[in-house]
Amino acid sequence: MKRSFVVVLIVLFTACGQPADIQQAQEPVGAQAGTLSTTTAPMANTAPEASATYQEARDSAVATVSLAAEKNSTWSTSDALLKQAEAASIEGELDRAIQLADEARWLAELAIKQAETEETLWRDRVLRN
Amino acid sequence: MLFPLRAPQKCLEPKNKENVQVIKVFSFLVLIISQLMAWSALAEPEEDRQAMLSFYEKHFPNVEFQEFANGVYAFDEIARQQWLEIEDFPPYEIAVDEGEAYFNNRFSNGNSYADCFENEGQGVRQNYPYFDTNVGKVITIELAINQCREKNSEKPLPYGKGELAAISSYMAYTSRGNTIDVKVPTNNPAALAAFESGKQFYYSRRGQLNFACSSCHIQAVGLSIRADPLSTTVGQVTHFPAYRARWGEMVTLQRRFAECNFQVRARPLALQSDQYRNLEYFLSFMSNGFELNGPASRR
Repeated sequence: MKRSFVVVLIVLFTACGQPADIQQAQEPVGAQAGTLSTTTAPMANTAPEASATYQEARDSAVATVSLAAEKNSTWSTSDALLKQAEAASIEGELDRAIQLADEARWLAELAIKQAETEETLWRDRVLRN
Repeated sequence: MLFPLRAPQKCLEPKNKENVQVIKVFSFLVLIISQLMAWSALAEPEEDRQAMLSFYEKHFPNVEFQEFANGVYAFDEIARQQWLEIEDFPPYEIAVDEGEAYFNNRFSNGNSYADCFENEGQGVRQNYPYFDTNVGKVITIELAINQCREKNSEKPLPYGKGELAAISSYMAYTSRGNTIDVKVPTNNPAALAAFESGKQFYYSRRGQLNFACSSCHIQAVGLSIRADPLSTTVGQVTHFPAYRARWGEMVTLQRRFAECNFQVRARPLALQSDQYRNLEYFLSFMSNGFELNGPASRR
């Protein structure tokens, strides 16, 4: 019993004593790179091509949101993301701005899909005697 | 040419008396079927209302019919006690007084709101919204107030709160106890279309959270979202405008629609848009037979 307790303690101390770089290496690759998180700001990119890419992404998102609005089915999240994208572009964080604009467009596409499917599905929910 | 053309008249000409008889019978059947289709379309609003009432009666067997006009306070005893305490010093009283003053103020041309409404605007709230057959649109009481202003060369008021909500509160107050009697003209396809549009809005999922109005108020009625119990569809319109404690001010029904839409992460529509007016039309018809008890206080 005593021996096993000592073994457990040694294992614990060994793990806690690992250098920081080894612990970091054990983190998932995606979390390190920040590729899966919208809250992790990537490196600012001020290159002219990135600016053009952002404008393209933004225009595409705005056009898709407008299509959703024609169907009265815009999601407020798209609006919020477009605002955040604009703020990020002003701050010079163009990679992040592109990511946010793309997400806004993607949500607007889902909103349009929702409106299209609801054109008929709503009838199934109507109460009947 | 592969197929020789025949004169159109010849195609339509009956060949003999038997054909004439067949055409007559066919025409009669078409007439009967179209009448039946029209009748079924007209009967639908009332069928919808009966189906909804029946659903809630089964869901809340111990709640009396008129109690549904009190929203969640019809079945949430603790919330009801708090509400009754609040009613001792009703927070909407100030709005009613202000609304009365605004209502009685004369426009610059000497006319007043009383000149625009039946019975000088006293006790008429139960007839709104109605379908205006001349313009082919649903007219809500807030819209009628602004139409009155514009008719008298005054600027329309912002919808949702403030002066307009106060005037609407006063008009609701003078109508307390009157029974909601919203009509869907059975001989008007445009009115039926407006009703249908409101119904579609009510049952359609929207927003990122993918909720329809019916998701909360039918499917999950009586359950709670966080600390807030979900009210029944019937009786929802009876108490507006309402003093909303969360905002500390009077709120019109359509501002509440906008809040609901925002809560499911849908972009709210413009107040008094066609869609919201049609929704109000549908909801108000569902509450036919309930007594008005607005303005009221809500959490």
